Amino acid sequence: MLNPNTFSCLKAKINLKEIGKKRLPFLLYLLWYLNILTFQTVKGQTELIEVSFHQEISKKRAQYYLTGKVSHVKTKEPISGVSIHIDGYFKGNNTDNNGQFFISLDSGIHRIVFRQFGKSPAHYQVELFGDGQLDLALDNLDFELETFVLEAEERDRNIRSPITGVTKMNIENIKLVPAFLGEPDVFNVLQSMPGVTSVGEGSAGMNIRGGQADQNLIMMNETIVLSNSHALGFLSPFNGDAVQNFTLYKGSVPSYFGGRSSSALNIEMRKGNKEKWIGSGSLGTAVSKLIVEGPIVPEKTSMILVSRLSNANWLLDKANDLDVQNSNIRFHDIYLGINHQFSENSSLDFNLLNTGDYFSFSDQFGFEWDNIVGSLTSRNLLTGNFSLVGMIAYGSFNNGFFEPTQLDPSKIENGLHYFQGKVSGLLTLEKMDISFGGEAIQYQMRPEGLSPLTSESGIAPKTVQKENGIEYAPFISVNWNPNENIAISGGLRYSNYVQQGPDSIYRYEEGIPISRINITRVDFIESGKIVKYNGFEPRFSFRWTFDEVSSIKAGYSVMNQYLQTISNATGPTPIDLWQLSTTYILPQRSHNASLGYFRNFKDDEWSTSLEGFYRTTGNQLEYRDFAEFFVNPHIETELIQGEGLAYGTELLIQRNKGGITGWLAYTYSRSLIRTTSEFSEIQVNRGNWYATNFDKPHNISLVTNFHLGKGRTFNTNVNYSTGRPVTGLLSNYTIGGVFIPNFGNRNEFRIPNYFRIDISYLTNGFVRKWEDKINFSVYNLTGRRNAYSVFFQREGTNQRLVPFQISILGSAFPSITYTVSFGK
Amino acid sequence: MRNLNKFILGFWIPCLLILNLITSCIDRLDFLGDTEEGQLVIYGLFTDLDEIQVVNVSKTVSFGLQPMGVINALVTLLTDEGERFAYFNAGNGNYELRDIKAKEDKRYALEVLVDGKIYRSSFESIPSVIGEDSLSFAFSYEPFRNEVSEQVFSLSAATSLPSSSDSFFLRWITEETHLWIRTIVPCAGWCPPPFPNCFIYDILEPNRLNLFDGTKSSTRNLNQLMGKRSVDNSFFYPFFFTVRQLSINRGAFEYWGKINIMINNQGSLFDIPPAPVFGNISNVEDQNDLVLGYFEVAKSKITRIYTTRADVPFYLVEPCLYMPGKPLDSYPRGCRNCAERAGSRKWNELNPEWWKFD
Repeated sequence: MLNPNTFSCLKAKINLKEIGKKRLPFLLYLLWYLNILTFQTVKGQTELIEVSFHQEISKKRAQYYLTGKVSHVKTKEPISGVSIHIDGYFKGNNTDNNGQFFISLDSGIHRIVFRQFGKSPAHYQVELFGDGQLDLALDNLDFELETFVLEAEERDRNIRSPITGVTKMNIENIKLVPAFLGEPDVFNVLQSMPGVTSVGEGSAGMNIRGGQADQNLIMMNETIVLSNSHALGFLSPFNGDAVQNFTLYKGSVPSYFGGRSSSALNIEMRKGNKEKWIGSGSLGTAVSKLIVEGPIVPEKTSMILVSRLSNANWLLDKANDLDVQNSNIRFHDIYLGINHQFSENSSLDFNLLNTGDYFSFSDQFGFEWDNIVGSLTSRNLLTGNFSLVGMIAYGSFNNGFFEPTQLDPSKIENGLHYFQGKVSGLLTLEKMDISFGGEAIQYQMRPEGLSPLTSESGIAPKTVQKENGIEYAPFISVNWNPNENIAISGGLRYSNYVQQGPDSIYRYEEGIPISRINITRVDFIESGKIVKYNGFEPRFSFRWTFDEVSSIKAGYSVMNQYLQTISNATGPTPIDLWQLSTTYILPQRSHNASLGYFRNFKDDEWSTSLEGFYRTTGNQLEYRDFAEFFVNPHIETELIQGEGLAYGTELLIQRNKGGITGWLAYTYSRSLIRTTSEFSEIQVNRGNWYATNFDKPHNISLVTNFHLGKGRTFNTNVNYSTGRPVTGLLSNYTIGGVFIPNFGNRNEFRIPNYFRIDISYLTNGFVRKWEDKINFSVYNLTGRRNAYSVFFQREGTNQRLVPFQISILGSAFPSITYTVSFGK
Repeated sequence: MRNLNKFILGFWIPCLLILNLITSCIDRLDFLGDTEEGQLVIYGLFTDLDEIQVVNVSKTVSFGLQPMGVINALVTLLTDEGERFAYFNAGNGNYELRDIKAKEDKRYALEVLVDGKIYRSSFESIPSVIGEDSLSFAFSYEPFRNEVSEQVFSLSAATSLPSSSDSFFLRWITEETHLWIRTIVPCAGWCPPPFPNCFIYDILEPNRLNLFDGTKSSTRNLNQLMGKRSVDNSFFYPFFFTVRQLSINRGAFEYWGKINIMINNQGSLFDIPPAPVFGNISNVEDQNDLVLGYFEVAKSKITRIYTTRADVPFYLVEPCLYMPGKPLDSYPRGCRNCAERAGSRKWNELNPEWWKFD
């Protein structure tokens, strides 16, 4: 363990006991700020556990196998990705997804250390004179230390992990990034990492390496979650208190993930405590939460229930604007996880996520949407080095959009539900692990309906049938570490997609752009295949570590996408339509290449990386000017496809240990598109390249965590980015007394640059006998009015239209959350 | 005591900050100053009414200001039977055609010759059905231009829509005309004749485009607000509101639908992004020479309603009443000069033929 009382200092020796711990954080910060102090921890005594394995002398060999399982000391859940350091070296051995490891060692005595970020390392001295099984448990690192240490595996993970463009983080780190309403949020953290941006405020619509929001595969425990907009886009549906960790693949996505053309994000949810019932309740200025977890059957079955409920309407009442006062916002999310351990090698998990949102703006318009995702996962270790995981899942969401005060009050409803099944095997060999399996998803779009909202409304009810389709893909992935310095990861996925009946296929006059006015006939197909697409998706990643602290990685992947959102709004909205590929809407296919240089400094105290990426996407969807998407039976008439191009460089400088940790991320990236129709009249910007809605060349994030001791941290998050493109006004003209703006090319102008500072202070509560905590945070500390979009309006009595910017949050937004835990 | 301090710092200070939230999130921008000038705008409305048919030809100017009229254009109405009718140049970019009106058995196009280039519209026919409007008005005291309540006039229309099975598309234009009487200075002896009355014309709430798509609704009785305005001293004299219902074709309806989207975008998350809108007029020799505007052929029906001082429930002061001893130059300039009163609005001193009231 580290000894917090002793530091070696380059310019001064400090006796902490003399100074007194109360003044320590400030003094250390001051010294650090003045750049006269650097930290280097001195290891104290390490607890070494001695174990021995012996074989009969007659069966003695030169090498023996050591296998085992690493689990969490409290939850008993297996821990994947634990690095195994043998005799002071790390040769690429990690525990697999089931926490299992399998290594071959020379006979003799070995010193083995199991490490993972956020966990106390386990040190073993193993006398290996026979095959042995070593099961062990790791506990969370005690953050009550005066310094925060990102443990060894994590610190050099950027150097050692074989895949480029991977961002991985666990909940301890997520909580240290200041967030809106003080809610720890995966999406919020990701937006502070290189290569990840958003078009607006909050968490909705991540754009990863120049990709559209719908080009990200977002999963909860590998179950696809399609509806990610929650709390008007300010929060993700994944309650931070239920999140264990997340992994974002933005470079080369492994072949066991597919279906999107940009990236994959897998969020692992926590499992309930298997030993005792614990929980906590939080009351915040806008959100209240309750967490309960514990053993249903001790040591066998556990559950966790995490719920979050909004109480934000009183904030709206404080606004001066009458419309805002009369608005209404409600949202909730519930996560339920049940885990049952049949035996040491077999378990079953049930996960359920439900979110619900309602928002009405005065009596003018409103939205409501709900989302449910449930999965059942069986994990089985069949032999010492082969495991099989099977998963079935169901997802569903419904959207509604209503306008009570229109001429004809109306409501539009749509949605979809889907079934997902996945089987994957993992064979772990000494220098190689092989995963293989298959995945299938069936999508069933709900009919889209327009209905009158009141009995007086003249709206004629209308229903449009939407598409059904099935996507399936076998895959294989191999990770091979031929030696300590080289790691190769290769994979292949063969994705197939079939659009199935029933559906109406509109036929159009040939030789002119398809539109609703040149429909020649409609073919109705009752059932069976309508159209089929497929393609191989090779994935490749390479790592060369040429010394202890630096490595080069490269990756290349091809990904197909058969399901996408269509929207002509400025950013992702809760009611964006998901659209399957059809006869007219061809699947997207992207080619992704990335190259990165990684280097750590000062015993992994600092991690740095410089990565570049280049991606082309075929058949990227764009909307035609003034497209109408809702209740449209021939949506293809409103769309146009084109090719996308994204490229950029990412720089990350991260400090992993010390009193002050955090990272600085800078990204330069471009995201462009050009439409490729053969008909010039529907080409956007006459077929020239233009910036996508989310093209923001410069992005800088600085996240700083000041560890003040005794569980207290002060955190800051500074964000700057180039303003996103908008379509701007060229001139005004008058027709029949109406002053009309004449707009230029799509996305020709840019809104002002974005800048925001968030802070948070996490501290213990004020009741000594309770285990209570307070999270005080301020989102947008400087109150800067960052433009979300631009619109044009008359100013006073002047006929001339002038541009105005609208800011979603026009001021600093403070929040406070008080949490009391029980049962701990 | 320590816990109390924590509570104050940890809870009440954030609450006070919340109460101080800045309420407005909309700010004017200056960064979009790169405007463009010189783009040709042609707009013509050709109806079945016995009225002067008008075409406006103009060019955009920079900084988003009012476009400038093109005075050297040659404007011609074409029919599908090969007839050509030349418009008369009325000045300031306005071109007028008299004694011609649209007929259902013909199709019409517009041809404009400017700077040696010929611009021509597609041929358009006049729809056959139209609805019947019935107007009403109301005075109220409510927020209108901002959150502060004020005296407001509202004009509404109840429309009986045609029961025809043919698709139809309607658009409404609401024009206001008010009388303005300048200050009459008494004189003795030989006096010059009094100033004629002024008639000042304007569009009521220009950004409100009332459109109706007969293919999307089964409604046959439509009630809609045609426009609102603040009540000012214009209501001291008779005040006429003219509602012109236009039955237009699908192309024109889609054109105005796009215009409606653009002038009513509020910058919300759900706004349809703006885009250039091009109509049915193009350069016959160069398709890349883009022209703004539209030539619409419409069946038209006009309905009027008026208010007098007796209808106004608010106290109004006679604006230009002569007061003995008051220096003439201390009267509002609009009390001496109609142009001053009208500002950028259209005005004249001719009694409209429909200016009849009880």
